[in-house]
Amino acid sequence: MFDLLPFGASAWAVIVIYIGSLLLFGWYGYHSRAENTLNDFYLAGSGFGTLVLLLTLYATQYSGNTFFAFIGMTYRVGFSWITSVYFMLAIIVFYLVYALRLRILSKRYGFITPVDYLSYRFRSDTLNLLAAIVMIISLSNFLLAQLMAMGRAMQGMAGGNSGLAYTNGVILLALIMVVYGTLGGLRAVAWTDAVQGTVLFIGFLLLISSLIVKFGPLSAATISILDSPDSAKVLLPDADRMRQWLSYILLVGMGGALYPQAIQRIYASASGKTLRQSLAGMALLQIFATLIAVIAGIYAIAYIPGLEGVHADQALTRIFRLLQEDSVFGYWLVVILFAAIISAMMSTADSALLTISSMITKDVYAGYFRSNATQAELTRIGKICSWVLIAFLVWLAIQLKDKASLITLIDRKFDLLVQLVPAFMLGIRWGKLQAGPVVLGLVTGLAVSLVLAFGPFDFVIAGKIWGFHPGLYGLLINLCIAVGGSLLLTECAFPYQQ
Amino acid sequence: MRAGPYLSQTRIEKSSPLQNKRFLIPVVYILFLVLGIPWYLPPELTTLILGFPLWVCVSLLVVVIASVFTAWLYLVEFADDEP
Repeated sequence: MFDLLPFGASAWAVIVIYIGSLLLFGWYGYHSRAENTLNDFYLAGSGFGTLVLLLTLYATQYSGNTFFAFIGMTYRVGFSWITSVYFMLAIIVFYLVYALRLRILSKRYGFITPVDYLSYRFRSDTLNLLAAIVMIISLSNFLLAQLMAMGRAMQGMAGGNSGLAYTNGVILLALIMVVYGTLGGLRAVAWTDAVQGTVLFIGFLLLISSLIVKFGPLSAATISILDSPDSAKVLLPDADRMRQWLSYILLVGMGGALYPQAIQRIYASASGKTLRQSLAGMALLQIFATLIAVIAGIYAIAYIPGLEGVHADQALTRIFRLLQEDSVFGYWLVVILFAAIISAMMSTADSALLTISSMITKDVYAGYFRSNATQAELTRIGKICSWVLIAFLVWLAIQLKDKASLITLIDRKFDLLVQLVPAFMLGIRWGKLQAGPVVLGLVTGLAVSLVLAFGPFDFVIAGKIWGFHPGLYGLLINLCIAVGGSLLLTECAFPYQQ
Repeated sequence: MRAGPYLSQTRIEKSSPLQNKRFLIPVVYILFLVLGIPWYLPPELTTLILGFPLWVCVSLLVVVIASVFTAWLYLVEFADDEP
C-alpha cells in the first residue's frame, strides 16, 4: 500500500528526535501553567496572541492527513478539487456569523466547552446533552481518522505493508500524544500546532519546487493528463460535480466552523483583535496551503497513474518515493516532511482529544454527577478521560485498518456537525430562537442525515443526493423546524431579556 | 426582526465603511459563489494559463478576491469586534 524507500538509521534518528521533542512541549506547557484549573488546562489561561492563534487555528483545519486526503481527492477528480480552496475559505466566512460575538460572551461568562454557550443561551439540559453527544461522536470520528492516518504513515516509513508497523505505530504515537497532551494541555498542543504548521507550509512549498525541478512545469503535467485517459480531470467539471462543489462549500464551511476544538480556540484568543487578525490571516493563508495540495495531486495524476479506490490516498507517499529516489535533498525533505506530518496528525488528534475530555468532564461529569467538584478534581478526571478514550480509539483504529477512505470519514463527520448550525449560528443572532424547536430540529436533522447517508437508497450516489451531502438535506429540515417552531411559539424564551 | 438583548445592549455606534449596508455582505458572497463555480463556461474549453485550465484560473481569481474581501471584513469592517 505504501511504497516509500525504507528509511535508514540516520533518518529514523531524526524522526525519533523530532517526534520525541513533542514531549518537551508537554513538559514546557506543564511548567507554564498558572493554576490547576479547567480554564488554564483547556484554554491556556489568558489566551494566545495572533501568531500562535493563527497557526493553531490553521492546524485545526489542516491536519497532517488533510494533505493525504486532499492530494488523494485531487488524484480522483482532478482540477475540480479546487473546491477545497473554496470550502476552506467558507469556514472563515462562516466564522463571521458567530465567532466574534461568541468570543465576547465566552470571556464574559467564562465558557470552557462549546456546550457552555448553549447552556447560557438556551437553558435546556436536553439540548446540552444532545449537542455534547453530536460533538463527541464527530470528534471521535475525527480522532479515529488521525490515528488511522498515523498508523498508515508509520507503515509507509517501515517500507512495506506490515500490519505490525501500523499497529505499533498507532500505539506508540498515541502514547506520546496523550503524554504531552495531558501534561501541557492546550498550551502544549497549540505550540506544537504552530511549529508543525510552519514546518509543513515551508516543506510543501519545497515539495512543489522539487516536483517542478524533477518533472518540469505544471503545464507539462496538465498537457500530459489531457493526452491520457484521465483527460476529464482537466476539463470543466460536469453539472453533478459542480453541485458537489457547492455542497462541499456549504457542508465543510459550516461544519468546519463548528469544530468544537476550533470553538475552544475562539474562547482561547487573548482579545477580539487577535482573533480578527488570526482569521484574516487564515483567509489569505489557506489559498496557498490548499492549492499546494491540488498542484501536488495534479503531478501525481500525470506521473503516477494507476492508483485506484482507497489507494488514491497514497498518492502523496508515491510522490515522496519519487523524490527520495531523486536526490539526497529529496530524501531528507521527505524525512522532515514525514516527521512533521506525523507530528501534525498527533497535535490535531490531541486537540480533538482535549476537547472531548473537556466535554466529558465539564458537560457530563460535572453537569450530571458532581456539580460541586473542585477544579483540580475536574482537571484530573479530564486527564483520566483522555487516557481511557485514546485506549479505546487505538483499539478501534487497529480493527478498522484499511476499511475506509480518509475522505469518507471526513464527509460523515460534517453531516453531523452541521446540524448544530441553528443552535450556534442562528442562536447567537436571533433572540426569538427557542430551545424546544432547536432540539426537535436537531433530532430530525440528525435522523434525516443518517438515514440518507446509510440507508439502502438508489438515489444516493457515492454518498450524495443530486450532488449534495445528506447533512445538508437534514440541515434544511432542521432549520425549517427551528425557525418555524420558534415563530409559532408566542413567547420568546431567550432568558436574558428579563 | 427583533434583536437579542445581548445585541441590543452592546451594539457599538462606531462608524464602519459599510455602515447600514451590511445586508450586502451575504449578497456579495452569493455573487462570489455564482461567479466562482464556473457553470457558465463552455465545457470544451482547454486553454491553459501557467498550467491551469482557464476555468480554474477564473475560479481561483474569484476565490482570491473573496479571501481579500473576507480579510478586509475582519480587519476593517468588523474592527469594532461586534458584527
